[in-house]
Amino acid sequence: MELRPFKVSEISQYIKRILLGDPLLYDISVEGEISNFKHHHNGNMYFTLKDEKSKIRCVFFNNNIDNNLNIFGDGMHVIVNGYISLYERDGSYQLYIRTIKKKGIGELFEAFEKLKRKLEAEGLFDTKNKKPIRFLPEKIGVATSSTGAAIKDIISVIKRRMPCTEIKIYPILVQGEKAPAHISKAIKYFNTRDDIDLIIIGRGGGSIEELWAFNDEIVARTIYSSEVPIISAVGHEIDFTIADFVADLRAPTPSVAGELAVPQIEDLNYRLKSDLTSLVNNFHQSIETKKDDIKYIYDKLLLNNPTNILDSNRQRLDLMLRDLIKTMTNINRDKKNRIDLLGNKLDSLSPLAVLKRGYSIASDKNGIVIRTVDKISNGDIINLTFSNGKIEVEVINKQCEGWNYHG
Amino acid sequence: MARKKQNISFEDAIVQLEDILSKLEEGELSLDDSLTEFGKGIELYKYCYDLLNKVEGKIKIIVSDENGVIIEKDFNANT
Repeated sequence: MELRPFKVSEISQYIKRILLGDPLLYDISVEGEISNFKHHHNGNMYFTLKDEKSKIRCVFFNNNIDNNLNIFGDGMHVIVNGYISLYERDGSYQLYIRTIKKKGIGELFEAFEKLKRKLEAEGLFDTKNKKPIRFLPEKIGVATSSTGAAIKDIISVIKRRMPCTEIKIYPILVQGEKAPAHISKAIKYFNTRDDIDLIIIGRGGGSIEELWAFNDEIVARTIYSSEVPIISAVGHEIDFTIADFVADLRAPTPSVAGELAVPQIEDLNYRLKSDLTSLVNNFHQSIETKKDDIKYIYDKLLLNNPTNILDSNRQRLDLMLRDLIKTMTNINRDKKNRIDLLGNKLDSLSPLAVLKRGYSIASDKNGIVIRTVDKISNGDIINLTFSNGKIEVEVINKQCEGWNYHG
Repeated sequence: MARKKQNISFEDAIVQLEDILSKLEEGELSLDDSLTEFGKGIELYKYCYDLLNKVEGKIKIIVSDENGVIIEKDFNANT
């Protein structure tokens, strides 16, 4: 009896059953290089695994959120474990992956850790051995690929921050077998010159294999023995290499290396400008202070000037003279007044005035006024004085009793 | 290898300038010294300013010529 024709889906199911029933294909490990890599947004990965002769399609259903699948990509050598089955819709067999890991990564990490421990023990990472980076390096040597993004980043950042900086680029291979020798040679070259203030070595991001040249022992020792300070800028923030540990300064990326290498010109120009202002102000202030000092001394001198004392004494003298004159005048006037007064008084008391009133004065021959008759005798010659003349008279009858001129 | 630098560095110059500032500020200098220091300060300022602003630093790439001698050439990032 002839078999009826199978449906396509029936034959596919049959083949699938055979594949899944195979003890070898059910649990196998395969190594190869990833190509045609697609990382679906739901976390599943699709790619082709290939070697020199052959290819096999692979699929990885990401049920395990702990897996960091971002580290995988085209060109990467991996070892996958899983089973072979048929994708019925396309009628093609695929490798369904259970686990995936980078090939050789374990050995690399081991070598890295071993070298790190060794160099650390030798003191290559010691902070005290790190050279200070000059505040404003005039010439910077850069050892990196002349074509990558790293050199463009470094140049643009340095030129933006400090346009006067001179940059010398030593082009090198930054990955592959020859890279460590290139890096060392570049560092040694910059050290033969006497004008390089700072060296930047580095490269952009890449896989651990691509960054591996910066984990080389020779490179580490060359960095350590460099007299010119070195900034290491390898890969991204998360990438740490031996070169980073030995270098005098680690920059997380090439752009940051540019920022660490030079200060901002605006900041320095601002500082200079304010320094100039302070310089002029402080100078003027110091001159003003001196002027004030001199003025103070001058004033003090004037105050104690001997001419000044003379002047003031002279003025005192003048004042005194004026007072004297004034006083004298007053005294004279007072005296005159008093004399006038006395004159008037005298006048009123004068015997002459009495004479005018009709009295006369008797006096003896000696001119002495005769007040009583006691010493007068008959026959004496006496004088009688009148207001307008004198006469001599002879006493002819002296009478003492009964006379009382008081009446 | 001995590193020779005949010119004073920017950082040394600006530190000297700022030293002069504070000396003048203290006001303890004689008139003569004030004048001298002020002149020095102006010189230092000009020196620093020129260092920063006078010339654009060149970018050179270091290569070997056909005889293996190391020479410097202008570098163009876009080529």
